[in-house]
Amino acid sequence: MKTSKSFSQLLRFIDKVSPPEQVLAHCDIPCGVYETDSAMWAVETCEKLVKKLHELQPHAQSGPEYLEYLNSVSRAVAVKEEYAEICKRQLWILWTDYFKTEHLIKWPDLHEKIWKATKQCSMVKRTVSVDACAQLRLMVAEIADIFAASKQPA
Amino acid sequence: MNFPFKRFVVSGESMNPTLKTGGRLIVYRWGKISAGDLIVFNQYGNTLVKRVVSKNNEKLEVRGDNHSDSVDYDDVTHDLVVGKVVATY
Repeated sequence: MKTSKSFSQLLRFIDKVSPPEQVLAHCDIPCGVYETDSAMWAVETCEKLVKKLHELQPHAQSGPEYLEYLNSVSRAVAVKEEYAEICKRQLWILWTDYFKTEHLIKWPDLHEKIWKATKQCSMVKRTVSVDACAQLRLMVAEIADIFAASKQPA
Repeated sequence: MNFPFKRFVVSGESMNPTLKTGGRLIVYRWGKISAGDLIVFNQYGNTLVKRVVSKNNEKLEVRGDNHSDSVDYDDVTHDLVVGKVVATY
């Protein structure tokens, strides 16, 4: 596929006069913007919503106040669900788009850590557990540490 | 006027080791595309280079040779294809 040396030199000369168009061979859409803050903020949101759910008390067993209570519970659960999913998605983005073979060589348990953390996101969805959120926070923090370390020059 | 050949310069690592950043390509715009060909195509406002993994009448599936730094596309329609890489220099 490589052109002959003389033809290559001619083309390089043409390139100087009329530069070729750039073609991208980047990961997907060239972004290069990866971070772990979004996952951590999502965990914090889940933590706050779980705390709120534990604090909510029905002031009546029926009527408008009870409906207000149900509404507050529903909203908190819905947002917890949403943010646990955001956390999971953010971890997936790091897993599929950022981390590479060289990172797996350096951190051989990276697959397992991300797998467990994303499963923990599901646990946060399923439960109203402070402990489940705390565990997720630890898992995300650990992945964030690996991410930060991977950014350091070798 | 559309010439049959077009020159490109590569930016990025997803085609390593076949193509490297700064590598120059000659793309033939009128040729038939087959599985295994390197193609240049437009996607989401960018011009990209990838290898065709499979094709059907409607779409192409493409992938970077450097699998650790590349995401597959399976939705490249034929009208998005600029052409296939026929030479490097």
